[in-house]
Amino acid sequence: MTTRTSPARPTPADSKPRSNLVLLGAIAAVIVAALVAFVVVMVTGDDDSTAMTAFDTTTASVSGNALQPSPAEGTDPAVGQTAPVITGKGRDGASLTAPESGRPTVLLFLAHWCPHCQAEVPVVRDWVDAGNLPDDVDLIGVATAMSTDRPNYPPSAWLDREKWDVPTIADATGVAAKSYGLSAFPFWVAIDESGKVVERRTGELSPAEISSLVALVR
Amino acid sequence: MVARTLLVADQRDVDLAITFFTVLTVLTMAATIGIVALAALARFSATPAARRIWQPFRSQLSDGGLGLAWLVAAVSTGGSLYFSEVAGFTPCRLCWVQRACMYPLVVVLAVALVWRPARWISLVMACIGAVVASYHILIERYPSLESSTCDPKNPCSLKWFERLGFITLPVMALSAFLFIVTLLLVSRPPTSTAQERS
Repeated sequence: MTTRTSPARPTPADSKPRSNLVLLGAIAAVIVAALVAFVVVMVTGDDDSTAMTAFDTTTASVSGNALQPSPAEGTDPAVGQTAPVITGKGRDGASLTAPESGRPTVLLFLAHWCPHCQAEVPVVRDWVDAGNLPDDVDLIGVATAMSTDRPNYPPSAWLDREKWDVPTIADATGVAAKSYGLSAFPFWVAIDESGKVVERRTGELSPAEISSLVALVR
Repeated sequence: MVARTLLVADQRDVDLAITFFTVLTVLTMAATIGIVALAALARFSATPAARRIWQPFRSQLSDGGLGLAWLVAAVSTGGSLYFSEVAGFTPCRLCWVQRACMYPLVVVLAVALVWRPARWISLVMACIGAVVASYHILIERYPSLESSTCDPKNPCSLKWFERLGFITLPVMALSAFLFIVTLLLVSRPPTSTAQERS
């Protein structure tokens, strides 16, 4: 036979001061956090070291028929279609057109806030720096889906940091991306010399995959 | 792309809020680790010193811990709403799951103050939230775990900010969930209070 000992409940006189102590400590912590945050923000001030350039607000223009959205799987309806022609400004302010008539072209659409694009840019840069891009093929970047509210803005500062020398068209509002049926970032489009789409791909590509994509348009 | 916000927040105000919640995150992490370490020492240490420190401390948490857990849930909910509706940080799919765990906790923990079984519902919700937040942190660190592409609208791998090299939104959520779990476990009334006092 067991005997049950009922727990002795703390009397209100015991419990009330202890409860208040814990909650008061928590409220004190919140106040301390607010004070620390205020001091830190006042001391550090506006750390806006990444100034915007004209590139970060420039919109591209597009001519030609828009491609259907890129499907997640299955046959791509855009293959064999004439690619829209994008005209816009590069990072140096010069006019850029892609694809140029008679030039096989690979387009790479990038978003400054996309972690996969952030990972892909140095891979492509190193691939180009290693001399893998054939002289008869154009590789053109399209910086798109720009948003001041999102991280890693402005894209011009990001590309500068990455020492990105690939000619890149500013597409601040995403009109070029929409005309190419972009479905995800990074977004690759291979276009042959007649201006027809050969392949559209999404995601990070390895150096070998970039080489094989470029080989498709030659 | 236009941010969907109720109010237009000044960047300095957003920085202030991020820093405020970063400090709170560090404090909750320190408190969680401190409570768990003290409890473990009291449980497994051969010396009675740790137990002597732990018992009065736990006694205080037993009384006020549930209220503190409610306060953590309320402040987290307020912060979450600020970041989405004022700062313009659009919640992703995993953010919504964590919200679904955190927001109701404000009500369920309030109920638990007067109806004890609600404590276990709170515990389950906080544990689910902690698991989802942990997965979200992994996706942020290693985006390729989920996909090799970014959703053009709002990928879960997007870090709206990062402070002290590791504090992001899901890290804040995880620290809150773990603190709530710890408080719920510690605030359980001692079953042998009478024996301890004798």
